[in-house]
Amino acid sequence: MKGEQKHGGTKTLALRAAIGVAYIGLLALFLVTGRTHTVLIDNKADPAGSWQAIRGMTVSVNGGEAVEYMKGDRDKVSVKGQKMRVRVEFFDGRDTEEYSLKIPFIEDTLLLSVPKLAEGLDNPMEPFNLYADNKARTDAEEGERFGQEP
Amino acid sequence: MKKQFVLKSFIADNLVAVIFLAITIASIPLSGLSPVHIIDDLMTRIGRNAFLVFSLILPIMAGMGINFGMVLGAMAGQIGLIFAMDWGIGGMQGLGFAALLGLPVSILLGWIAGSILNHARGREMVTSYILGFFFNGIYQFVVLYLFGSVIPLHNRAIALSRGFGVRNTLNLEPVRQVLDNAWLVKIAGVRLPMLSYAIIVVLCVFIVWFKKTKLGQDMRAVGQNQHVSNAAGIPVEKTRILSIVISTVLACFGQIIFLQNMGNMNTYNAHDQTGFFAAAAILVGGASLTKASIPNVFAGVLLLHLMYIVVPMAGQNLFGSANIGEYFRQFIGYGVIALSLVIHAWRSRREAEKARALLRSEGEEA
Amino acid sequence: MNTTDMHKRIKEAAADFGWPRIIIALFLAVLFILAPFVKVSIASSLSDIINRFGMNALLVLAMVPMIQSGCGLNFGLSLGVIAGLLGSTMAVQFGLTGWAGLFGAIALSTPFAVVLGWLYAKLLNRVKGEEMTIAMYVGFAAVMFMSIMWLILPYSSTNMVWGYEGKGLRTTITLDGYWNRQLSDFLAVRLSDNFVFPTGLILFVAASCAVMWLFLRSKTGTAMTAVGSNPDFARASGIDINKMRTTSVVMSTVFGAVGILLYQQSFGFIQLYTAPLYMAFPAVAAILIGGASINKASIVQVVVGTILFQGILTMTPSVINSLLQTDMSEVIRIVLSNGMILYALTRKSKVTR
Repeated sequence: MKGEQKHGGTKTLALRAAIGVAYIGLLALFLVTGRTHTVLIDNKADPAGSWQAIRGMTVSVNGGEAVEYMKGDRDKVSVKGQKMRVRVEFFDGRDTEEYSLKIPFIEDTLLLSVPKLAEGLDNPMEPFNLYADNKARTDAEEGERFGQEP
Repeated sequence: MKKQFVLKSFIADNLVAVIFLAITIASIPLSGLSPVHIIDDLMTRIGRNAFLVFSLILPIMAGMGINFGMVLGAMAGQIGLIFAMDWGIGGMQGLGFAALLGLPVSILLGWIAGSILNHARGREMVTSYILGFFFNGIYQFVVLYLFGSVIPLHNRAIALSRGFGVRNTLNLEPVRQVLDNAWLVKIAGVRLPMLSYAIIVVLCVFIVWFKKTKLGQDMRAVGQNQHVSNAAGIPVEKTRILSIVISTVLACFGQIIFLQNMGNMNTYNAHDQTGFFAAAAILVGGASLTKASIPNVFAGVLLLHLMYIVVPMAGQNLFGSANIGEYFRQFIGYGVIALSLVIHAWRSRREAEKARALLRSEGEEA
Repeated sequence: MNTTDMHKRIKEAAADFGWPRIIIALFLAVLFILAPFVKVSIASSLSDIINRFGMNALLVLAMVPMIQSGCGLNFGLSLGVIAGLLGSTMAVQFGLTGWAGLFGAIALSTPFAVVLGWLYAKLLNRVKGEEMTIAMYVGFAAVMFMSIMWLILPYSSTNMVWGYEGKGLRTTITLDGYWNRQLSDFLAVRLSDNFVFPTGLILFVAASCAVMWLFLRSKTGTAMTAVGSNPDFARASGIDINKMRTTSVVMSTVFGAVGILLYQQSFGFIQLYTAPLYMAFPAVAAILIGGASINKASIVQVVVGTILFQGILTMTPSVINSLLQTDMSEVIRIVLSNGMILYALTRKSKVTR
């Protein structure tokens, strides 16, 4: 079954190399542009008291649906890609704000504290460990018991 | 005398489709389903399943019968999806990523399968069937033990609670119905996933084009007569292997399309019935073990899935038991394949005997 | 000087015996050696293997007639299993217990097995050359058809039907109180704490093997073998090929029916609905592991193959699971049994279409 194929010629080699590069390139492109992160949008006060929750707002991420958040609410949003535009409309009369955030590639789930964001504090968005020590099930719709960040 | 013969072969040609149609049509009123619901379901199923059935065309053309080994491609696609979900890649990118990863795996598996089939001439179908089982074992091993241990998994959410191995159900939320929704047209309550259809059309164009290429012609020649092709200088073994490789790759893509519509993947079972459904579809559509064309695929998918929508409900209403409908559905599915195989084998024997008789009488005259 | 000769001879012997078989035998030996180190009792393992051998041997034996007559591997064994299921469910329905139950079941199954086998043979005779795939799907379709039947047939015994509706058979029916372990316990010998030798069962299997052996040596048996290994010669000698093939298929189906009855009495349950779907595959794998090919099989191969196959199935879970702390048995079973079938399918055989 050995045909007379010459595995030679720089042309074939170049073609194969090009295909290989294109393949890896496409994979990387899909990976980077398609990677989705789960961001928990949080409107809770700091337990230590450094900041207060916002009394009512709507939040829209990357031009998506504007969701209402009252004090203590938490909801989740899927973000594709590494850039996140957060648009907050405050109920208490403050001007509508738009914030731009970068999501670190590695993280799957993050927690964004909007109060912290609104007050310009450091690190408004932090990685969220789904398997925190107290092993609480993390589903934003499911009630109050969310683990403290490690 | 000649007219009688033509009628007989026409019935035999389409016997399976005729029986199928009769049972299905009888079941429609019994099922109690509205026409809109039926058509809507049918349109979705066509978009979801047709691609997989196309993967059977080339091996049939190359004389290898039904390539039950297409399930190897399905497994490759599933492995691609596991990686894609590991990194949470969504949208078209997720599908593209899975397809790109599944591609080399399917090529490799297809090559292995084709080589093994070359050692089992005359028994290709049974061998490809067992190949499916064998590689299923390897797939289970890889997905149950290697993922998370030897193959690093980034996202713990898709691993089993013990730390390694992939979960039983893989959530495909990031890519759920991405193809369907990308270009959805609604007509009178029926949803049409246009992008899926577009992809199928592209595949049809590819197949038509491929059949005209040298490789395509080679495959057809090999399918008709291996000895003559060999004498004509066609690399028979390599051509057969290539038909299986292409079939496996198409099955990989087809399975990804199938799963994105389902939205969820049963990691360990999703591919179990892939070969069976595709085979039943193409055989019901009028293909035989040596001849399969694009119309066969469409007719078959239409008929088979219409049956699958209607018959279980009819069985349930008629007998008051959902189980009977299910069993009847599977019985018809298996029975159709058996019947098609029998008709085909019977006819090829008849033709062989007739050729022999002809040769004999010519010899006597001479 | 003669080392190269010996080398060559060893190589040839190995190739003849088949490398996969050697690997499997070695694998089994390794498992046995490892057993005591991982706290697996050899006595109970041996007991398990012997019991499983008895359970499965007849189903594997059923492969022999059809292989010898050139019909290939009997992937349609499920037809014989169905006959056995019909017989055993009827026996339970009639309230037969003990010996009456077991032999009643055999007596009731046989006519079904003969009829089913005869129809099956008629089909196979028309499709010479593609028997195996067709057998598979005919078997599948038959199992599905029977699944509908189990729901509809007028069984009424309270032990068998679903509780609140009173009709339709349950998925598993216990043989406790009927003929559970009837053969296995007959003349059983307790060799140690964990080791009970199922004398009755082994005797029955031995007797069946003897019957098959005698048959293969009879005039009909040799004619059957001739049809399988050299059809032209058989035709020239005036042997009716179709008749021989039919005989082989009927025999295979009958042995399949009795085989499932033996399996049931060891297992303790009648399994209906989709249980028979894939029952042919382990039997096929076993006989191939024993050294049979697609058109030649012997009794010795049946025994060796069943012992090796069941040995692997028994030892792998206990040893490897203790060793690696995980349950790999299912995966190993799938890879091994199907690998063996693949190996056999890819050997060159002298008789093609």
